[in-house]
Amino acid sequence: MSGRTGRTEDAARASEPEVVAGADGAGGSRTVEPVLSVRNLTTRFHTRSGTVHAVNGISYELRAGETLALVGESGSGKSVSALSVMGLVPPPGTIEHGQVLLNGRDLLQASERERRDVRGREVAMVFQDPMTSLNPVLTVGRQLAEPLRRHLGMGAREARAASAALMKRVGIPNPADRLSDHPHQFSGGQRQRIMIAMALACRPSVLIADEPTTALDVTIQAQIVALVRELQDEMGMAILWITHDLALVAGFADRVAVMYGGTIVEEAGVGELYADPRHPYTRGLLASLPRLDDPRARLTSIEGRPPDLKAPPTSCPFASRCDWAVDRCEKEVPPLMDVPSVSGRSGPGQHRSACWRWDDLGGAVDAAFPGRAEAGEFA
Amino acid sequence: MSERSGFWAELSRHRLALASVVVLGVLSAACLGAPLLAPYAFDAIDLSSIQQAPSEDHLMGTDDLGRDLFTRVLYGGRVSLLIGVLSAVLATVLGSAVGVVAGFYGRAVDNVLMRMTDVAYAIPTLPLLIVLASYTEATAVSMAVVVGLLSWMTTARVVRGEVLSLKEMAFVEAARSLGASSGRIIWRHLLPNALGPIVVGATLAVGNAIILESSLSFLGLGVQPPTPTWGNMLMDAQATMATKPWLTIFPGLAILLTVLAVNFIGDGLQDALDPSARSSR
Amino acid sequence: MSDQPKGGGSPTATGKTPTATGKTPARPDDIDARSEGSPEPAPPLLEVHDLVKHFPVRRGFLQRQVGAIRAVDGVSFDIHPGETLGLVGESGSGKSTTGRTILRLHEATAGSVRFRGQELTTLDREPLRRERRHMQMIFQDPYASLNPRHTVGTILREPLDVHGVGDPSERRARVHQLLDRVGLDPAWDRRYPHEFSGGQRQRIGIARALATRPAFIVADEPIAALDVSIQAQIVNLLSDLKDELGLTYLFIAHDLSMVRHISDRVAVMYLGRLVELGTRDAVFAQPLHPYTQALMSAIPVPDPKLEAERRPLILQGDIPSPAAPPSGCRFHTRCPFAEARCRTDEPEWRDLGTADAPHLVACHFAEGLSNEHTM
Repeated sequence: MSGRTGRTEDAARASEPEVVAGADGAGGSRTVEPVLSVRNLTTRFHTRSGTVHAVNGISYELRAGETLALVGESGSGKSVSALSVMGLVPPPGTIEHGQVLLNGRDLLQASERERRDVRGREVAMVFQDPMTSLNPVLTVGRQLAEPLRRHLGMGAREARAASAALMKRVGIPNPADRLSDHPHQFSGGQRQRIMIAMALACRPSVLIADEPTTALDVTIQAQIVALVRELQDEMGMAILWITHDLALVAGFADRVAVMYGGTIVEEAGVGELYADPRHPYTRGLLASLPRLDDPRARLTSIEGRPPDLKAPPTSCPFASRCDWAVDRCEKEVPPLMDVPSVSGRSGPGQHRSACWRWDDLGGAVDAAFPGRAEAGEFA
Repeated sequence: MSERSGFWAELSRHRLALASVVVLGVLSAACLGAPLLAPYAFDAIDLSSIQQAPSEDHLMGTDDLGRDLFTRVLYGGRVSLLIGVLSAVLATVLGSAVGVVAGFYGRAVDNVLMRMTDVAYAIPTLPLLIVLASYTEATAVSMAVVVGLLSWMTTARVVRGEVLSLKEMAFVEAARSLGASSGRIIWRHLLPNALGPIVVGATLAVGNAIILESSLSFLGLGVQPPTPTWGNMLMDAQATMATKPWLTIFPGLAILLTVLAVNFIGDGLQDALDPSARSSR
Repeated sequence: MSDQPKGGGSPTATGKTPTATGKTPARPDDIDARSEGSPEPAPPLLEVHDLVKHFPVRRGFLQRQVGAIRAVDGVSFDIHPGETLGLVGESGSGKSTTGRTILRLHEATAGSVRFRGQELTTLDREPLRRERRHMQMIFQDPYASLNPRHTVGTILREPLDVHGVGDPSERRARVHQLLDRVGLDPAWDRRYPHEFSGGQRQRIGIARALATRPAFIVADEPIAALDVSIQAQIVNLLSDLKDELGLTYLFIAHDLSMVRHISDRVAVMYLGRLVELGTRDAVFAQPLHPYTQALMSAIPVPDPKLEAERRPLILQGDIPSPAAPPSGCRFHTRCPFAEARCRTDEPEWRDLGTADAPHLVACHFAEGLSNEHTM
């Protein structure tokens, strides 16, 4: 399975420091057709108090077995962009333009009926809040069986057996007995496991995980991440992992796209993004993360607040908070530009930054902080 | 200061509410000024012109005793509006007080008050009113009091529920941690945030009271003829609804207009009292 | 009410206080002995002794008590003036309940809380109300913790109104000063909470807590609801305020990495009990309890190279219900090192630290556990 190869390649690279700097897991598979390709996606919310420009023309590609992390803070448009892919943007939101190509077919041109058919079978989603994403009055067994019966046409008995197997696979003890339990009888972590089982029931080619661990405790988060990685190795689906936590995805994403103010401001292979971030916002985010391996007393913060999405973008969305901003940043919206990667490979799409001054930035963020030197002793 | 001006600014931005204030104001003024405005006496029977359709002489026509309907609508409004407003105020104050106390103190207090509310719900309205009517004669004020005392329970329940959830909010906890007294928490934190359902309850109560009064009048337990109320006029007109529609339409319109106006004012009030609704408009 | 100077410890004592805990005995019984009279230079600002908070579970028409959520089940610690104690745990650990019970937002089921030598758990309503001036709270949710119907000015004036501090013009001036101090424009006092972002609201919440110049602040997950880039702003503000005003914090968090930046000492809580307590450096350099090790190990490092090499210790299972905590060591159901003894014997609270840096742990096997997983 291509997922497996992608992952092992990646692991192999990780142990060779020279390669890791420029590594992106999909480097070797760039020529492979993407399973999911989002082009120039623009989603707006037309509210009574004005138009909210939630997603402003973002593009990315996701290949089989690859994990793309979409990282951003609240209001960055990361979740809306995922809902747009699923065709689940709630009113008054509308997808203004763009393409969402799933296995070559544009979902935005498809009928609602066709899209319903695709959802759950080819692309599935896991949501942030495991407490509200299961129906409290139906048994877990019924909810698990639904996608199996609907998409795979299983009979009741067959679906029940398959549901039990799925529960077992995601690590719920006594799965056969617990099928008749209701959601409130499970813990938050178990409910998220069940959501994952439901999402993967039909072996979709793309799994969209929208902050699936944010509502969970850290020890449970570690369990869920480990589970999803295992399942990806097994099933080879591509994962779009949406999160606010740059630290979390460092361990398992192949590529990382950082969103700010409804646009992707930087995208690169995971190694490169952390080692050589070329957008001031990415750098600021990395610097503001508290690190267990870095005991410096004072955190670096990004002053100011996120942009008002009610105004259509006319400048770089980050300009008002940016230490590097120049006149041009106020006047022209910077597009995503190709940046030469550290490894020397500067192929299109390897490393992109939406900063006019990407060339003035570079190198590891931590170099600016003396405490960083101590990281060596932990490594 | 800014709170006040924001309130009026918002209320005046709410066009429907503003129009409703005007309509209700005109209506109330006309009813209060009925002795001056009304072309006839409300109980002047004119057997020569019974059941006439609206005309120049009788703007809204006449009823089956030849009484001028316009006059009676004006006089009827005095009673109906009084009952509506007075009983709604009574029900709202009583209901809010019971609801807040039950929700805030919880436990035994809540249990006792809520069982009381259940009992009040269970009191059969009609037998009670029949008993009352046998002791006293129904006046507009006594009617308002009785109706008010029989319709506070919904508000109490809703306010209690609201307070139960509000008191778990962190800002109430913050007030407690500051050392604020229970009274202060109730007045400054709980009631203002429960205003939404309270206002809704009050506007509904106005309409309900007017209608309840009319059914009581129909049973002969309300305000006694010949004193008109919108309710008893409507009831009287029932039999002739198809043939003499004006007898139904005008008092009905008066009730409809009042209830609608009160509801729109309620909507406006709710928005005007909510700072976050104020600026997002 | 109190004969002690307000404002708690002097800011100069800040750096030194953790060492004062060197004399903190491991056995809680000794705490009372010391606080009553022995000539300590800096007595603890807050002494929590065997604090218990059970929430009754009631059922049926008669609301009979059928059980109890044992949210806090015998917790003891001191906090010295000018010190920040980080209290860490996952949901259900009882960390927030501990903070609220200390401030008597919940009534303690048992145990003692002494604030500046004064017993709080039995204090009458009026003296307690006056004492609240000196101990304040910062809340987790910046949206729910501000009354949406009040202007920021009204919100910040409330503590001053409640405690009758100053005359109206002084209160006004104080409100402006507070806004300025937390980095907001004083002219914003007429705005409503919804006009502010999450980070700005949290600043307002902090300003409210500071209004009466308290000595002690319980910060209950003050950054958990904020965006990453804003979290750092708030943590930095809190530590500036501490230095400037000589504040003492109980900083409650689920995030060990943030706690590290602000705490002098760290306490780790699991299912209503403390499992480890020590100076920040000791706990982070050498976590003794397997749960602390697992917590640290579960925190991802924002560096793909380090992440690739890390072998995190992943705990199995879920946190048991505090209504029916496991026997013996409460962590034994999830502990990778548990042995038979852990299921039956409750571990004692032992000091494995040095004379001037006590490091308390409640684990039978704390000495022998490897902690290769933590970093």
